[in-house]
Amino acid sequence: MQAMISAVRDKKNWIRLVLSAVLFFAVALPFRQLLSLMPGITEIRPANVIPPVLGLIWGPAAAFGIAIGNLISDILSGSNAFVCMTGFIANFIYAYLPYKLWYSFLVDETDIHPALGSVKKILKYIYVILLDSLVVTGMLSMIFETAGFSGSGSSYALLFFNNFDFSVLLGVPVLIFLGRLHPDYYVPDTHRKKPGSYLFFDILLFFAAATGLLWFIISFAQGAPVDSHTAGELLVFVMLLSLPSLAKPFNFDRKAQRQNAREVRTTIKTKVVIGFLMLSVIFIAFVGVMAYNSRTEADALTHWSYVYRTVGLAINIIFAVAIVFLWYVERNIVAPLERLAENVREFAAQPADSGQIPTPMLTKINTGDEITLLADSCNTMMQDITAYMHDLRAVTAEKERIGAELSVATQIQASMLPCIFPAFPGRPEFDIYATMTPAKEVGGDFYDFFLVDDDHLALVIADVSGKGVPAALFMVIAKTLLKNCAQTGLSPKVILEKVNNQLCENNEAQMFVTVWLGILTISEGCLICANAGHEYPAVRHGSGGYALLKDKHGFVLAGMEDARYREYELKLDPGDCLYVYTDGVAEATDAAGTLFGTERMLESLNRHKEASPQELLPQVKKDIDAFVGEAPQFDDITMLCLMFGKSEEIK
Amino acid sequence: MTINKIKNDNELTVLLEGRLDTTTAPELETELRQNMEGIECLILDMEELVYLSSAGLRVILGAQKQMNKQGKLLVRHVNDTIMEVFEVTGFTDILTIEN
Repeated sequence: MQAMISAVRDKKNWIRLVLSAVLFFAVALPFRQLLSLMPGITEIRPANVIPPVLGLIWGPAAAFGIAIGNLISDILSGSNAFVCMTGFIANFIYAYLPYKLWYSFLVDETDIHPALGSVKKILKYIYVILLDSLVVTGMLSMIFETAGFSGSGSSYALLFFNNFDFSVLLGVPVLIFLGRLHPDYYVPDTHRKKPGSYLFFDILLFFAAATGLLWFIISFAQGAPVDSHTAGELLVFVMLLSLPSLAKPFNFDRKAQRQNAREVRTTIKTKVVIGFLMLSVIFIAFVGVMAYNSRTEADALTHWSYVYRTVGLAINIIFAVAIVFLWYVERNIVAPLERLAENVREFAAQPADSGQIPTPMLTKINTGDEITLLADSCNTMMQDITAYMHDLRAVTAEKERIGAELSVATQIQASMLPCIFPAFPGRPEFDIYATMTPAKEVGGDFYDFFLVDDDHLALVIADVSGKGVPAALFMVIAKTLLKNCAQTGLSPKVILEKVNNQLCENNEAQMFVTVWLGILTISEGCLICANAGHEYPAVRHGSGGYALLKDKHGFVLAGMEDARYREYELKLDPGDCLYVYTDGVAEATDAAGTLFGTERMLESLNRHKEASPQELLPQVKKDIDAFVGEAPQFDDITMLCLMFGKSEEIK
Repeated sequence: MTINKIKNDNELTVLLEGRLDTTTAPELETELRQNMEGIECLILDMEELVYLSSAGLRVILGAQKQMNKQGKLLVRHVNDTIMEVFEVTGFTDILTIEN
């Protein structure tokens, strides 16, 4: 009841009503003129398609509009009150019944509108129109009989065939094309009270339809079956039988339907149907022209009648063929494709970044043609994608695990290097500072310094060949061996020779390490050094600048067994500085490929030559960074600086 | 890094061009390993080599050790930059360098 009130309040419904009335009146009137011109072929009434089509699209408003349009037309043509009134009711039912039946029988909630995009919907429409035509045309015949218009009996049967044929043959294409325009369909706002087929209403309607059918069969065989008085009674009977159907409940729930509704789109089905309809139109036009040209009778009226009958027959045949053909296409091509498309769409629709691996929706199609091939390929692809996604997930997890382990390794490596400064707070005789900036996660550079005894300080800087995990592992061995050996109090030359032989054992990977090793006798300022293939140290004496010390080089450690090393002595006075580094400093490269070089390194050192080790190294690093700019760092950058003599704060 | 090989009976000349560093050293290592069979004289031509890192030195050292067993290794056309690297690392002591 509320729905009805709101429908009456809706302005749109009034517009629909007026438009329907005007449209029906405008189309019906010219045909009435035509009808009076050619009384022999009253059967041509294409206007009959309007009520069911408008009723389906616009609902009750259209039905009222059509009834009113018919009423006006009847009044204008001077019909009596009986015809006016019964005609009003019959036309209302004619438009209202299809709407009612459409939404109460075989309702497809996903695609509810009467847009005839599939064979199933076309068949449903034909069924609806058949019932509607039988009931309403039956009523109209009885009205005419009661009113005494009775002409030849067979005209009633033709009246039915025309109503039905035109509604189907014109209605189907019209509804298909309207469906493509997406008109503003009126869909009843209904709540399903209980699911059911409402058989009671249908049985009453079937009786009404059967009465109409019987009437037409008899009238076709022998003329009007009953006299005008009985026809009136029969009319009332049929009306009473069909009236309950006007109140038949709609068989769906509008709320649920809105949720289930699919996006409206032009499906392959619709395209095939439209294509076939166009073909039919061409064919029918051809048949019409042929029939018109095969003029055999002089009488124009009989000739038109012949043309009309031929065309009508052609239309019916092609329509029947079309339905069968479309059903075949739909079953074997369109439906499997749609199933496949839906499954693939659902698979693809799952967002890639959700972390969920979609389950492939396999489509089983057994048509044995290209569609089966396509479906099988799609199935394989979806399964492959899922498998790859699982693999990728495993690989990524593995990669993350390795990454995490590498970062732990970096921490372990960093913690192996002395990193607490000032390193010897109790020893004012010297000041020491060192830094290492690895290029990759773990590097092969290292430095070390430790007191051998109270008077001897060992200094180590080294660079393992290569980078990454292998270099880091080798670095650990080299560093441990060097420290162990140095702590026994041996001289640098002996230490290097011993460690070299130890490293050469089982050096399958043929790694090597360049080492500069110095042992400072703190009380005398005497530094004994040995160089195993490492960069030249830079030394600053007194107030002078840093200069490279071209010391005597031995071969790299772990390169050749029994390699000999030479040692040399360096005298340090208080205030003298020693700077050792790895090739990462001299070989830092800018974007153009230019090396930083020892020249720039010395310039940088001398710019800050008065600085303490703790201040000097960050300054040099800053200069290197400024030189390199955006270019990537190729090698580890490691530096160690020793200042002999009293440190600043002690002074 | 470009590696060109000229093979002459049991003498193999390898022409190195570009940078021999961590990224390219494994390339040279693979090349050498595949072609060392039966070679008695291996010549490394370094005329076009612009950079040599410790990873590259490692490969050269490996080749030297291998050739000690089966013949000799000659290093040719060493430019100043590379020569400095050989001197600093002490490789001059173990390599036969011809210019």
